[in-house]
Order: sequence, then structure tokens, then C-alpha cells
Amino acid sequence: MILKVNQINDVAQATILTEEASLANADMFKEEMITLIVNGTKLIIVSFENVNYIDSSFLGSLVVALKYAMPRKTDIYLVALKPDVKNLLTLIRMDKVFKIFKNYEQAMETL
Amino acid sequence: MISFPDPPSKVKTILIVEDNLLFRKIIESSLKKAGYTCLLSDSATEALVLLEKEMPDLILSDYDMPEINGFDFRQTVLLIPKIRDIPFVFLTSFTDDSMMLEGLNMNALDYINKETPMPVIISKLNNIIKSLENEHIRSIRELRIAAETLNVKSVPETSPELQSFRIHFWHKGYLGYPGGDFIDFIKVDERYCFALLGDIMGKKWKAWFFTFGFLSYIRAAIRFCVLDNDFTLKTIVQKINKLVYLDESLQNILSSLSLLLLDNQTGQISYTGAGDLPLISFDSERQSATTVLSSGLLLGLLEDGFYDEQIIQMKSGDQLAIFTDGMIDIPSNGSKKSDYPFFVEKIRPYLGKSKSFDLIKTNVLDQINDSNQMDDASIIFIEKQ
Repeated sequence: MILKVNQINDVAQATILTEEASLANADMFKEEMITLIVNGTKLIIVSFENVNYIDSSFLGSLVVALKYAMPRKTDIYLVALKPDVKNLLTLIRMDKVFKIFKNYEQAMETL
Repeated sequence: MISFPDPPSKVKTILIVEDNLLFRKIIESSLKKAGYTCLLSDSATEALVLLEKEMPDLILSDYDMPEINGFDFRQTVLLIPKIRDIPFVFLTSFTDDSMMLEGLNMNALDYINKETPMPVIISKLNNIIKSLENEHIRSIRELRIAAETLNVKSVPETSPELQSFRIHFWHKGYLGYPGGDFIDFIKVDERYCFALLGDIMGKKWKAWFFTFGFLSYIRAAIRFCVLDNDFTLKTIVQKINKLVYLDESLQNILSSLSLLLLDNQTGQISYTGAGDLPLISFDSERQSATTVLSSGLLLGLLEDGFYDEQIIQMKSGDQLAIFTDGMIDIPSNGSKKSDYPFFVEKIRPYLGKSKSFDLIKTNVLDQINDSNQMDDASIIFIEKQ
């Protein structure tokens, strides 16, 4: 298990538990995200509060989850990104496909 | 030549599952003396929790333990895809033939009697690990031969010779494996040459196998556009994106791409990027380095990838670099981080020199090795003559 999930109706707050989001846990992350989507979650808010480093394998899983979510009308938001992680996501334009917020509260306000 | 150096023989970790404290300590200290790192569990339940996070190189398990015995533990491990392939050895005092047979039938590599003298146990484990390592090296060698026979290369052997530009490139696969980075140059005629650099998300074989599919699409899209006399990069990249997006076999695979078109006549370089890192452009007149960002998304992400095209007018002595994210991943204080500005800072002092790329190679690239590399790393460096 890599996500700690707090399900509130059809919104899931999912906190990544590891400091490193990498090849070692990318598949597990993808599976857990897809399970949430399949179970009918309409919005998954993924918190990166623990993550110091993200590699391309994990980014790949994140995007695969998004591609899986879109036709099923599920949104994925990202919150609590540390500066390094946020910079990388912005550098490769991921900020254009994911909505990014400071924290859960700010993300929940958009509902 | 694709380089597949042998994997580094790093320190191996053995998970010991043993309820007897004394025996656990004895075997731990012997294994440590033999150069192994040990993980310890006093029960199968604890071992299973540990295996959620750790990936030992071998599991050494007792049979007779309270709650879950060694055989049930083995059966459970076999049901978990992530850990089922970890080499498994029984070490127990239950040694009648039928039990040994039952243990070995559960895909255990050995069934060792606890009465065996410790040096013999260690030798047996050494042999198992060594032979697995040899097997691994052999598999990689065979794959390399197969790939070379098929003439599939994700990185070319040499740079093209151009009239107005000098091109250098460098690539190092993660831990020496071929990975998801790919480089190619397509010289259309004396005037135009394409240079491309991509990074399939993922590592090792899983990413490498897909580089050829991507490269084929990219080469085909470029060739078709050239046939139509259309050199608009954003059109080309949009075509590639659409091909990748519609290809169901590539549904879960994404790639970045930096595509450059070098015009030997005008000295212009056009640039379109897809989820790539910003390009570094060095102006020799002003002695200044700037980054150029493109707006496009990763290939295959959305049907429309919002691609743009930027023109960089190159004068004599101007330089330009594109690179993949393995270049900016660095170990820092025991953890890892990605730092684009840090990499720019590292190469900045060597820009604008007569042998800039050699200097970058010696001072930056040659410092990248198995101990500090975290992903496939590639760079293309272009100078206007």
C-alpha cells in the first residue's frame, strides 16, 4: 500500500506515504489509483506532502492514471507539492493537465 | 553499439525468517561476516509486512514457527507477484525426505539442514546468489546479441557531419541497462537535418522495448512531412502525438520529445518540445545562457498536445543543449532530488569555450556513475560553426 485514503462520499483524499515516488512503487501507485477510479470515485486529491523526489516512472504512472480517469469522468488534483517536485512537474508541463493546489482544504473549496 | 555493462555486484541483502532468537543471531552474524546485509523477522507475519517495503535478494526461512509455518509462508509469498520471484531457501531441522521434497516443490532453491556447519551454509548461499547473478549476466548478454542482430538501436553510433553545425551527444543508461532514452539524427539533404531526443517514462527493459515503436513513428512522421515538403515542426510533432495517442498498444506509455530542425543555410534552429525539459541556449556575443521553454505536452497524453514552435537564430559560436531528466536527478544528503537550475549551473562555466562539450564531458558527464545516477541520462549539444 502506498496511498493512505480518506474517502468522503465520492471524493478521495489520497496521501502518498513514501518520500520517494519512483520505479519501486510506481506500479503499486497506478494500481491503487485505478482501483479508486473503478470504485466510482469522482475526484481523487493526491497529496505529495511526504514526497521529496519523483522519477519518470512514477510520473508515467500518474499520467496513466489520468488517462484512465478522463473517459470515466474522474478528476485528479495534486496537492502539497514540495518545491522540487512542483518545479519538475511545471518544467514538463504537467501543470497543464493536473489541477494543482496548496493543500486538501484549498482543493476541497473548489467543490 | 548498445552498452550493457554487467550490473554492479553490490552488497546483497538476505531476509532471515526465524523464530529462535539465538539461531537468528548466529546466522545473522555469520552472514554479516560473509559480507551480506541482513533483514530479520521472528515470524512469517512480520516478514510479510517487511516485504511490503523491502526487496531482499534472498529469503532464508525456517520451517517450524508459531502461527504461520515456513511452508505456509512460502505459499503466501508465491501468491504475491511483487515478491514471488525472490530466491527462497529453507533452513530447518525438519529434514525427512518427504518434507524436503515438499519444500523444494514450492519453488525453493534449496532445503538446508540446520545441523549443517555454518561455513557450509554460507557457501551454499554464496553459490546460489553467484549462480543467479551469472544467469542474469548471461540473459543480458543474450539480449544484447539479439538486439544487435535485429539492428535495433535507440542511440546512434556517431553524430552527422554538417556544414554549419557541430553536433555532440552523450548517453548513459541507468545502471548500464539500456533504458527509455532515445536519440536520432535524420539528415534530409545538405540543408536540413533533424535532431531528436526523447525519454520514455520508465526504466530498464520495460521502457527500452518501447523506444523502437516510438522511434519508428517519429521517423515515419518526419519522412512523410519531408515528402510533402512540410518542415513545420509543430505539425510533425502533432502527427507523432496523434499516432501515439491512437495506438492502443502504447496506451500506457508516454514519452517526452525534443525535436530540432537545423537549417545549414540560414543557421536557424527550430525547436518543438513535448513534455521535455527546457532547452539551454548560449549566445556567444552576449555571453549569456537562457532557457527556452516549449508548451507541448508529453506524447500520447491528449489528442491535442498544444505544440508550439520556436526559432533560434544561431550565430557562429552560439551553442544549444537539450537533455533528459536523468541529467537533473541528483543524490542529495542521502535522498534524491530533481534540480534543473543546478544542472544549468554546473554546465554554465563551460559554455562559450572552444571545446565546450569536451569540458562538459570531463567535468560533469564523466562524474555520473552507478553510485549517483538515478535515471537514463542523455544530452545533445549543438554548436554553430
